[in-house]
Amino acid sequence: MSETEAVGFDRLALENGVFETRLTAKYVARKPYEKKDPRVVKAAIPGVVAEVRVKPGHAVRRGDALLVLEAMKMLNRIQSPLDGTVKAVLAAAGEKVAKGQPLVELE
Amino acid sequence: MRREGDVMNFVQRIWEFFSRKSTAAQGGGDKAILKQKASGKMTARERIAALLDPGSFHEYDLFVEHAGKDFGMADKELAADGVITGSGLIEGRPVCVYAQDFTVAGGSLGFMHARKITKVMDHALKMGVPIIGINDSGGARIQEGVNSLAGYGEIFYRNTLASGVVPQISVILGPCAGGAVYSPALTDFVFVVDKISRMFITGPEVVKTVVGEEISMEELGGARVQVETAGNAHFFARDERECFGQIRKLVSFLPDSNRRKAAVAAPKAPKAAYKIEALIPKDSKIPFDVRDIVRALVDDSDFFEVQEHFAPNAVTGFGRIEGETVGVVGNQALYLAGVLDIDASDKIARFVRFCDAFGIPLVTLVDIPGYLPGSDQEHGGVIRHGAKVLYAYSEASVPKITVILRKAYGGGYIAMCSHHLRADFVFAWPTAEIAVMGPEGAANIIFRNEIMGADDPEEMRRVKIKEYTDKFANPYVAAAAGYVDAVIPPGETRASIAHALKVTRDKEEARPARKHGVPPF
Repeated sequence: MSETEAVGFDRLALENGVFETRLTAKYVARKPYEKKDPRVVKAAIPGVVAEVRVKPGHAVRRGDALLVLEAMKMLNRIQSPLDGTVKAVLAAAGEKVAKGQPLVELE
Repeated sequence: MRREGDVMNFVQRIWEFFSRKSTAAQGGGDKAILKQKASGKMTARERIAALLDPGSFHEYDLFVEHAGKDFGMADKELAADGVITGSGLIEGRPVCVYAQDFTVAGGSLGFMHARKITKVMDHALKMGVPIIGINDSGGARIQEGVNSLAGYGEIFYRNTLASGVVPQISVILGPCAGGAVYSPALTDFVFVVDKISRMFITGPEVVKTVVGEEISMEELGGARVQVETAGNAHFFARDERECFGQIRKLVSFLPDSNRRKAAVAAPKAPKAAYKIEALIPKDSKIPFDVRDIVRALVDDSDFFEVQEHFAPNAVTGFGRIEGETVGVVGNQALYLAGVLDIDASDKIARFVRFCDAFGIPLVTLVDIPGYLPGSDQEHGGVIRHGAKVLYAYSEASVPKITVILRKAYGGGYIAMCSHHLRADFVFAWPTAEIAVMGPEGAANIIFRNEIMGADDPEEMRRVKIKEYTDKFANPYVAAAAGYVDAVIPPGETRASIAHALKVTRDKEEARPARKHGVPPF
């Protein structure tokens, strides 16, 4: 009946102290925050790489198209977020990419 | 001669009627019915029979014919156009019901199919009785094109008009995909059954092609996912029979419409096994199951939980006190210390609004340490979701009775139907800790300099935490300000709530004129 005698509680730290409790599966599975690295250009939506417009060593300016990603029936120009040089191209034309997959690395 | 002909004519007509009726009642025919049963599902007619009081179902529109003209549909006969509609009784009280028949064209929704549904919905709304929809459909009847979409739209519109007027219940007993999911989503309670229910906007195939994720139907939108993760469904059953039992039980707690009060049952004392003093751990750091506290308070210890599997850090459900239906909300310290987070806020706010719409008094049991910290919460919009709780409680004009059991800190204290959001009665147990912050957090801020400057900061921290605890971690500071109406021993909780329900029975509260508010949806 009462579950209060159960042993083995987890501990949860909150603003108001540390509490004995149980964690939910959803809480345990939560994604930790990841700091964004502007030098790694990732696919914001899943799709197919239609065209790659840069090669390693290319100098790019902010706003230049790095590649074209076909997703949700649209051709999306993926732009460089900064002025720099292409360090690596991580996806090829025709390749299916998942959301969050790195496409181009800049430096 | 003429007389004899009349008799023949009469007999023929009666015979024709039974023949037509039995053909229509056979749905998609033996083969399709066998297939339905092989997949562990009941037929639409069996479902209605299992849901309603025996023999109480009266069918409407059995002879409605579908309106498809194109793609060879004109010559096809679809029994009852794939949906059975009518009215019946649950424990003697009238309800309107419809059940999609998957054996007829996959339960697909055509124009006339939808019109049968909207007709019975209109009926429920006009008569002021609950409407229960059993969904088992492959989706839009593609051959009927945009007329099928029109049908969905008409249903959604009526779901919205009926919201807060008659209780609306959806039962998912098969696929319910694409636009079809929005009717259940607009209703008050969604029931699902393990391995049978499937709800999603886009199915696994689309997910795979577009997003590249490989996921099964069960994992994407099965019953468990809907009740545990997504929170779209409210009740989970292992099989269809259990599900219909749950629906009947839910209906027993509800009024027929917002024009009536929920039926009052014969009062019953809580079961002897639930003694409130015995349920409270001596150590205030050890959590208890707040559902046991509820069972110690409600008639026959019968607490019917809503969304049991979603956001278990909050508890919502129905019970009775002295025979009268109450909606109970509680923070559940057993999970995540009972914090408010995005999911718990949604769960509480929606439940509170349902109770308010249908005149069901609210009993709130407070044991809240605060809100859940984290980037996932902040980025997920915990501010606007959390605000729903404040909105729902402030907006509610039904009797509002609050009992503060243990922790009531900070914003959580305000949100959980405090005096400030116009609770009619706020009771607090002697174990209540009503304060702007928990002792640890507060001591660290107020006494920062003393702690940092001490020879032994840890010792000083302990001293200061104790100082704060002694002074503020109790119900008396709030009681001194009149924010708590009475400090009561736990053993008097049920009697205090029962008294409050009597006093608030004819509560009236004026509100400013407006079309409607703008809650933080």
